[in-house]
Amino acid sequence: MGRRRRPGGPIQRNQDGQYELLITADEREVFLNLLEQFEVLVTNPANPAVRRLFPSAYVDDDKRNEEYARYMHEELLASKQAQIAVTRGVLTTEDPLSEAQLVGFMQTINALRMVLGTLLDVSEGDDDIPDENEPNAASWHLYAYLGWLLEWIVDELGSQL
Amino acid sequence: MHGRQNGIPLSSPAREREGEHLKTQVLIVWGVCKNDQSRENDFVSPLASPAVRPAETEQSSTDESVEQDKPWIVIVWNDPINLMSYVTYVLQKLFGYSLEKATELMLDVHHKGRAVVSSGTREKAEMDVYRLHDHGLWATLEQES
Repeated sequence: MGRRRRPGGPIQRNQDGQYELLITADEREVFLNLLEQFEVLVTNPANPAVRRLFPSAYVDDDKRNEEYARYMHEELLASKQAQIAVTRGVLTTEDPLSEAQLVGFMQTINALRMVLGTLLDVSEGDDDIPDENEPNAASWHLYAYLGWLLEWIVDELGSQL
Repeated sequence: MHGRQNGIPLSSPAREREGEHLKTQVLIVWGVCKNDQSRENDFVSPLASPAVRPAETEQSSTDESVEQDKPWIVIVWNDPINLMSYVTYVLQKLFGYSLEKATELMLDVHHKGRAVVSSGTREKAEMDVYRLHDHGLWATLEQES
């Protein structure tokens, strides 16, 4: 079984093994705006919107969970912040991206989807964007957009494994 | 887990490069986050669901050496947000699984609610859990019963 690459997406691998991010200036601006707010949000793991990014490691062991949180949450936060920094670089350059940059961008997109999905209370099979008149329709559009871009990045990176 | 048939992207106006349309949405999105404090207590871990909650790990109180020898297993749990393709990719990348094996594990997570993706000492399992958390997957470790 092999991954089937699809041509014509927003991420394209060039002959040098680097990646071209083919999104518009408006899309970059939206991302940078989101990023700025996410950077603040992520520093508060107690916020229910980001709690999904800092899960427990043990199902029934409060003591070990506390220990895990004490040592690993700081690492997780530092990693998220590093990924945000990479993403900011990705969005502010027109140069081709390294694989490491694309991976950092991918992880930030996934984290943003986690936050949005939590806020939207996404459930299994929620593929349809609600009616435009729904109060959260705009958020659903953004959630779908991030999923679309993530799918393309995974498709491109996965084809290199 | 959120999947798309045959890897075909969602048909959404947002993916039609409506940059201006997207631009107006940003503050709306985070506005929900900042202002809706009523959601503070709404967060329910999938682990609390009886359908996916694992059995209690039996603890031996009489033979600690045997207990310590039991390997720790790392479990990935289903969630409605992560893309199926993303989960497959992460399992390949972190554990070196083939696409076939990673897909099989991903489908177990999707259909059965959980899958064991690695095992070893507690230290190794905890590090694997950390790496999965760093990639946004919902993972826990427990000692094999």
